[in-house]
Amino acid sequence: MSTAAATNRVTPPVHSHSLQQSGITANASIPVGGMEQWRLEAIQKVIGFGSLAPNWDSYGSEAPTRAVKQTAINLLLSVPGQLFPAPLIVPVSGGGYHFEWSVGDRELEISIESDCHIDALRVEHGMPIEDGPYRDFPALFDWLASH
Amino acid sequence: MSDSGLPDFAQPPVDETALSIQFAPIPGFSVPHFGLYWASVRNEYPRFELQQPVPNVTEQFGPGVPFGRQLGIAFLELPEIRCWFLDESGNRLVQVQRDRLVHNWRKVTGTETYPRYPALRASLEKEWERFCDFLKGEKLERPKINQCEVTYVNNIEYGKGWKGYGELDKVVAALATPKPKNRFLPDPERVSMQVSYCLEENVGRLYVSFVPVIRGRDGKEILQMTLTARGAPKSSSEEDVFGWLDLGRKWIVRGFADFTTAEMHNVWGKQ
Amino acid sequence: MADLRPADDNSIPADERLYVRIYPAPDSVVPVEGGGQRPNTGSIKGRDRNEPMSVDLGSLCTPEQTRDRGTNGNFHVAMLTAEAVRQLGFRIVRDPVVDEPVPNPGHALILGSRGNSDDDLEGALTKGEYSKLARIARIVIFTVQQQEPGPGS
Repeated sequence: MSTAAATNRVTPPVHSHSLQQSGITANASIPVGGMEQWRLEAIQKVIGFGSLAPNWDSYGSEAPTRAVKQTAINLLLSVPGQLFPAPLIVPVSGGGYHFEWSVGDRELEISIESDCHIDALRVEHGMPIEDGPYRDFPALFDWLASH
Repeated sequence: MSDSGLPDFAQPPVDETALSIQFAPIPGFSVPHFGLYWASVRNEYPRFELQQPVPNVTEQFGPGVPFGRQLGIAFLELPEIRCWFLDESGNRLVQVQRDRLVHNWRKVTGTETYPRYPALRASLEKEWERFCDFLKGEKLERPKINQCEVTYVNNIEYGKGWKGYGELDKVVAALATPKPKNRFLPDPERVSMQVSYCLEENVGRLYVSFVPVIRGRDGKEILQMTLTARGAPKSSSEEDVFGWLDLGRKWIVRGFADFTTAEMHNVWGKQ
Repeated sequence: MADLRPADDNSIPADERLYVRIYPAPDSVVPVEGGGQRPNTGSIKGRDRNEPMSVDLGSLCTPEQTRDRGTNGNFHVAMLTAEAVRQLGFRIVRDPVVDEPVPNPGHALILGSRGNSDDDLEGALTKGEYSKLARIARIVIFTVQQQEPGPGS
């Protein structure tokens, strides 16, 4: 497959606060006005991990793709900002991201895989409390906030 | 000054330019035509991306007309798409949808040099001619142009002539007035600004905005200054269309120079 | 649902140390109440989520060797014990690597219970299992970054 074909992709509808392509411009940017400092720093971390060198993990992983990065940024922009602390953010082998929020005895782990699939895990008192499919995003943060 | 008589900068903070020609939706132009068009430009633009279409936008003037631009409500067949056709580097792209063609240049790595308007204009002329030839070959009607648009996106980085929003008067000329000695308010945390101007004889509008953003390619927080000129050419002739784009660009360059301070002009190497 | 996993290898003793290499992102390591540090869950996930988790047997290699094998040495290393891993329900099997560019006779696998598309068990781990392992692991080498982590020269 040619390099050109490998980079062709379909971009799904973007949310209003995602990487903004304002009308006809192509370069992405995110308006910052009023953004909480933790969210700004988290987005910058996500963007930074997009520049990881090939084989950054010593197991052959590439940096997260633009689509994965976009998904991660959309997720951060969707978090209800006033209630939660800054998450831990790490790149994941294979080209994904892993986020962790901790509030009291509750933790919420959200991972974004290299195919943009999002998965979530709730942890309470250090024990995972479910292993089912990804749940409704707002409900996860409601659970975290109601500790 | 450049030989066009406009202010000229050795290192302008241009991050992206977009030259857009909007027209009435071309009857019969549908999904297969995107692929056929791509085949005609693929040597130069081997990559594509699908995007949501941008709305039809028309500047309105006159009494009784709502202020500013109006989003068109055009009932179009589904599915509507916008396709980006990119060169290998991603610096240049042609965007096509049923009612618009846009030609962009942008920085991708951040190290590229702005190629200057004459080169961008020449490139758009070539792409427009190629697009019209393609339509003719497919027996589709020649576009009836109703708006032209020129957009320049500038990245004004902290630390290059100014250090933060407390020093925005070093960037924006309109703010360069002495600060009152006993003022109550501290330095602003962030500043956003949007201004619009009518072009001469109401042939269009110039929009100037300052917005703090996180730049997508490196996560840096910068002040993004975007200037957009939009309006209707006198006719669909190439002379009138490209004449309007030249006018729009003139307003953008002069507006950029007026809006920013002499100190920043020094930083950008005003000639 | 078929269990296609090999049996736990009881030649690996309970006190065997299992080492894992950790990419040193700023958030890769979290403090543990009572002292010490552990890896963040995301830091221990392997590249192929359909595969078991790779570890090195401490009886056959040192944590420094785990850190340095095929890399420029700029990584952290976490440690688990075989006993603690088995108590969580995992199996551990030897998986020596002999014919790759960098042989690893101490390579082993932690087998989880995530079913594949046919619901068969082949050793992949669930997200909950990764989380449990991260919480019982402890950082034994914390490398202060001198340079970008990466492959060895």
